[in-house]
Amino acid sequence: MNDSLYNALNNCLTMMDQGSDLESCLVQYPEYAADLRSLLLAAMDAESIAENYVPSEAQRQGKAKFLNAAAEIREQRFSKKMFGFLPLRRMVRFSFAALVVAIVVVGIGGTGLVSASDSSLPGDKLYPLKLTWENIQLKLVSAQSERDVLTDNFDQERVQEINVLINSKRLEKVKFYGQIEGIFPNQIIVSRVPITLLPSTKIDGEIQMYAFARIEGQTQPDGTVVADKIKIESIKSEDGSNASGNDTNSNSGGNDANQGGGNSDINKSRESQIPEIEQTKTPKPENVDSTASVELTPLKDNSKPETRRFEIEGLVNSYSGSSIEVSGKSIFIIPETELKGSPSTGSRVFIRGFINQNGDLIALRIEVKSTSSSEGGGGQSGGGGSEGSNHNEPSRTPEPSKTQDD
Amino acid sequence: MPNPDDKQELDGLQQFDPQVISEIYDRYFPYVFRYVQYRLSDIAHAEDVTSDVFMRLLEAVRKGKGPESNIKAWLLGTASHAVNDHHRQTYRRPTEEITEFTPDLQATPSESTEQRERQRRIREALTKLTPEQQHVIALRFGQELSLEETALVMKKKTNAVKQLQLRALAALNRQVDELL
Repeated sequence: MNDSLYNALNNCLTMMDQGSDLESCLVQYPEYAADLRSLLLAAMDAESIAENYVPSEAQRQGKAKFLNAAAEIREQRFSKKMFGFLPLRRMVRFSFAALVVAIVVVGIGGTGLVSASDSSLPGDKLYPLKLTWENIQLKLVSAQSERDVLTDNFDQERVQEINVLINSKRLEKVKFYGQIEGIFPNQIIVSRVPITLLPSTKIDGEIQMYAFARIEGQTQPDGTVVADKIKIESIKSEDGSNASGNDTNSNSGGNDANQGGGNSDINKSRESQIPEIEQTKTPKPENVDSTASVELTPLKDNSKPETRRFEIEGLVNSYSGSSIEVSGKSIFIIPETELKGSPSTGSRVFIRGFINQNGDLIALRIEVKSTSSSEGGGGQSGGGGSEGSNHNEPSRTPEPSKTQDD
Repeated sequence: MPNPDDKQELDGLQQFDPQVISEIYDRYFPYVFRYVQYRLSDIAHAEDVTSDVFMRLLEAVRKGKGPESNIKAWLLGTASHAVNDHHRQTYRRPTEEITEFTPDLQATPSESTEQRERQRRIREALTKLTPEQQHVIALRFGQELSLEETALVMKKKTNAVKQLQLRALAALNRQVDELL
């Protein structure tokens, strides 16, 4: 074999890449035709087994692992930068001094660093101070009802912190508590935060709509939190097994005493109890389907404002990527919202979703029934089948349906 | 000399900038996965090895031994080492059936059984080449890299790649003839 054969092979490969066939390549190099034929056939064999398939699920999971590892290295680097230059004795002195300062600051309360820490986020140096101060506040409050209010405020603060982290694309370890507002394959929505579930995610309890969950995970640049651990806290006490008191029941709309007692249990569990690990399960996507019917189901947990499902059909007043206004009702669109058709101003849509704790309407499914141009002709698709009959009435006043008790 | 975009990417990588890190993963995962899958013919193992390649990237950058000019070339070069390591581990565990290939998930019903069987044989023949021959074939015909790009990944001169390519194809042709 000599240089010419190497070049002939390469030229033929280039020609074939550009669309020439084998024979026309060989004609160019009659002296090497026999050798070239077998080499080019082997090249065609080699090309025939190349695949373009890339598993998106593996890519997503691998990415979470990759980003976590990168975040850990970044944290280690940061710690080294901060403390690596200090000899041990100075470091101990430094830590002691920091502790004294922290105690003094916390002691005088609400000023200086504590105030500065108010806006700190997970991963910030002042953040532990913020949490410590919150714990102190909780301990200083004697009335259970006030403590519950504070706890709720702090829970909301955690969610807001996560939103800030997500908006600024920061990757940080986070912990928060909230209500499950949506269940999807490999993802749940907790207090409007999309939580990604990996095979490695430890799930204590059964994931179900409207359950309260403690989430530990890490924010991701794609606007989600990849969960390391999820603890589901029991919300149901239909058999009264959780009932043990009612001193904190702030919701007078409770159905019975058992549920009121259950609420107080929930509050207690948030204070001090760690729920037993009952089972480890992956979320069931069918939960969404089984509950997403025309029927409206009120929350069984009365410690929080009721969250209900809604269905609405009407004309679109305005539509953007993040919200849609139908007959005067503004409805939020989340990444998990399933879109059937392309809504536009004037088109008729059917929307199914839920009302979260803040009273926001969140769409889970938007179905375009007729476009604005065909609306005048009264064109009803009449589809929906199992979606129920009420939304097929063209003249129906569109508004979120009323709630029903189970 | 890296181009400005690559330079920015490399700087971000060295700073472990979350945004850049995320973009690097999204951009290069398909290349690395396809390369690894080409050489392993097993999706589950290919996923693991691909993940390992990206972890090696972080570790290398942490130690100051990461890519200096071309991240893709570095990743594909590392992918080759990772595949070779995987093969070594597999050989140490003879209980694993190394010549058994997973079904082709991409295959359509219209594809003939014969065609799939032929592809299986080609994959098997490929595993009988030297790691370097497999590497050059995977880069040239799996990734469709040019000679120059292949030379960059393999840290060889273009002429050396031409020779290696020819020997690899000749070896593949022999192995395929034996198996078919």
